[in-house]
Amino acid sequence: MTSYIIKRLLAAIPILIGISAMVFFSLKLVPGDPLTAIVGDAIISQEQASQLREQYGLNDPLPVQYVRFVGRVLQGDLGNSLQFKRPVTDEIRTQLPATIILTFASMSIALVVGIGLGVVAALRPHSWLDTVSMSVAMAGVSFPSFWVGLMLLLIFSLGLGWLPATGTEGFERLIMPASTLGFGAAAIIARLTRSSLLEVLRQQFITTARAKGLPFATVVAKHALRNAIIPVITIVGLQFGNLLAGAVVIETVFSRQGIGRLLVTAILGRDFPLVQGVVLFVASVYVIVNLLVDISYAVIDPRIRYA
Amino acid sequence: MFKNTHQRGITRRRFIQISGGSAAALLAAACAPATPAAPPAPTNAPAAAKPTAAPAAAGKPGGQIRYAMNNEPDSLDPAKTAQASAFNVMLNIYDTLIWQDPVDLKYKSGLAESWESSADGLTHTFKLKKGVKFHDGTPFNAEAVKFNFDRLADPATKSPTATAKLGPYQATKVIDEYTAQITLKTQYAALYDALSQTWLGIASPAAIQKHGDAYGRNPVGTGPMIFKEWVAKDRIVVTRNPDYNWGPPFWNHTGPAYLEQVTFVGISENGARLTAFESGELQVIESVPEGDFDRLKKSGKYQMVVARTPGAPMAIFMNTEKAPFNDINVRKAIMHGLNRPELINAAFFGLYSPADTPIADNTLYHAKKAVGMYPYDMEKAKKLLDDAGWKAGADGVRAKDGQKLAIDFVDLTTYEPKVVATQALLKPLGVQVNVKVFDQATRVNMGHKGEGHMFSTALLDSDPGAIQLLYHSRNLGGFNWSRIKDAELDKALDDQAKEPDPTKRAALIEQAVMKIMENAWSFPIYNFARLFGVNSKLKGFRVHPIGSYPYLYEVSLES
Repeated sequence: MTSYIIKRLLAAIPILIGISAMVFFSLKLVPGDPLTAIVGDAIISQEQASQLREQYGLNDPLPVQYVRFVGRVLQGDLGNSLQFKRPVTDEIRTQLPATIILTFASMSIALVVGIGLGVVAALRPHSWLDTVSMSVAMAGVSFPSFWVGLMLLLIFSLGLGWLPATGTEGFERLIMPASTLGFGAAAIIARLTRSSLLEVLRQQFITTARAKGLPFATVVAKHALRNAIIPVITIVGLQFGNLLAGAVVIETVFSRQGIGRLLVTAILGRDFPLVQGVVLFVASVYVIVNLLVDISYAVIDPRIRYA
Repeated sequence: MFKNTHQRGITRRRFIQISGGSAAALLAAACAPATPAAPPAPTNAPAAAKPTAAPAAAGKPGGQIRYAMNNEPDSLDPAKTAQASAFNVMLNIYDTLIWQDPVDLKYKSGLAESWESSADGLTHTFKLKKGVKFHDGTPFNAEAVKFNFDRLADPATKSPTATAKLGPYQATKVIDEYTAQITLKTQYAALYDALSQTWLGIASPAAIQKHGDAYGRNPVGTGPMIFKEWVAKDRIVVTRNPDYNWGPPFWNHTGPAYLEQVTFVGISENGARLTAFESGELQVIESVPEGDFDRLKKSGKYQMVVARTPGAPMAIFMNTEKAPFNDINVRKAIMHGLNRPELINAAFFGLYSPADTPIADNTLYHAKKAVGMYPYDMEKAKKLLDDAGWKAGADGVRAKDGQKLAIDFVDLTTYEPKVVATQALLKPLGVQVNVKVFDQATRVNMGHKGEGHMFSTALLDSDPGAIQLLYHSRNLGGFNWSRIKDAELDKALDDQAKEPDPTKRAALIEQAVMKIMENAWSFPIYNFARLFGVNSKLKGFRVHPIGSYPYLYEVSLES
């Protein structure tokens, strides 16, 4: 197992290098000048523009800039944000907690709602419960999250005045963003749980367990669900990545702190060092989450072993 | 809405009726930019549509407000930022040596009590106010002035805007503790204007030395509000400075600010910003989309403020290097053939007033002579194109030598209504406008490279000389989007920048403006304004002349 983990971590290095090169050179293809990050919307003279390019080292040839970038990254330095004039690592560090909280809150909602709906639907297939559960799931997949977010804002902030529309601090500011984000993920989990559980419930060991006289709830929880959950876990792992991507939209809609909103600001401002830093960071998280998912298979299903 | 309006021609008079008081007040201001307090505007302009005299009634001290901008500032170090959102916050934290009065546009005392200039315009001596303290307790004096300006002049500061504002600065001499003397390398007409802008606000030298690179997140000035905290991507909090007693003479009261605390937030999503405002979570919002502005104004529940900005109005720049705009007749035809009031109605709910010249009429030395040079006249426009050989084809689009009169209008995504309205309004003229909208960075880049025929921008500045950024040949490849290379225009723009005599300077600026208009190099469309939504409980909301940033010092919260 240990050697497997080490191998997987080593394999992540070329992935990250590839991503960094791709991000670096594709950013340079995007129309727009990193000067935007420095001066924002201000109208400046050409003289000033060339002075600033010189001062910020934006005139050097691309390969030189890339080598300098990689050299710094290897020393754990992601450079300085052009826009916020401070280290990229500081920017990520200050924004990270809010995104972690949002991601975990959304995932909790997604798991509880998704598995709940999936189980209910699978236990009474083709009943009205199934139809309702799967309709909710279908809605979750179909509605774009920014729309759901704006609807929640309209209803609960503007209409009822129950929840604050913007900001980060406190539980009441987490409810709407986490529900919006969790709703989409719950839908996918529900559909997968339903189909996977239906398949398992048809198998003979379930019949055996029922025949032994075990209570139905025990059969479902201990025997069926445990077997049905493997594909769901794969999806949960992938959903973590989707939640991070979804945070880009949700954090913007609800004006929350977070990595997603940081990335949007960085891209729109052509703050290249910040974009590179955030993308590298998110890619690393993705690689690690995938690894954790693979490891969790072995824990849940003892038949799976890694050499 | 737009289909209805573009069919019936609309006169200027009708436009004024439609858009009501705010336009009327603005047009009144056009006739006399320097007279204090415009006549009270009827119905449609509930609050300060332009800088007005400060209300006399005393406000109630206390209270906290939340103020939403559309983005978070990058830094609160005036030396290190060029962003409007940063100016907004810094205006409360820092004082400037002098202030421009928003009503008479004259310079008034700030941290400097009085000043005098040498006859050659190269030496400027400032007598400073005594007893002024920075928020960190250190005293404000001539050394602090010298420290700040020397820092801006140092290339290592990498200042995006303040250094340029400081112009041909040479040095500051400390004559005595409360006398600072600034010397210039060459004459610089915009010096006083620059000194009145918060980009040249005076920061605490001790704090700059203490925080180093992190100063922009720990700003210390002498202003009416003290920086308290900045939670990145969430909020910036400032609190009342209890010692403050050195504001400019035109503010509505003396002593500390009324408000106890202001929390600034950056909310880029229009829907979220509006929702939070309407639910009472925010007391002031900026950048209200025009459609929502109209809706909120009609609800009568809020003070909706159209705050005009000085500088250059929103104008269309026509790429003179590219056909068909390399033909002056085509440019003139567009300027006669596009009905601006109708465009403003169709795209912007009639919120703005039409602009007539490349310098907004609320700016010093606005060249009145250029007003009315291009009245809306469709017949004249058609004749200009006919005479230039552009004949209508079967599809109604004109063509010449096999080339269609098709124009790419490159603009910002949020300005799409303007581009689409232009497209429809120019169709009867036989001009095909292609809508090309992008994000800010992309469209600025396209403008710089001349990728497109039409671009548009406004320019926020209290000094008229700033229009050189848009018209001087040295800014080709930059914001000179019409791509003008004209030695006479360059000379007029260069000369006005050095001319210390106001009358002579006004004449030079007029010369430049006339040149631009006669050659149809840019097409002024409407007077740019910032749109604010203000909770009706706030009193005394009024804006700074440079870019219409509110003086929160004057604002009070009434229960």
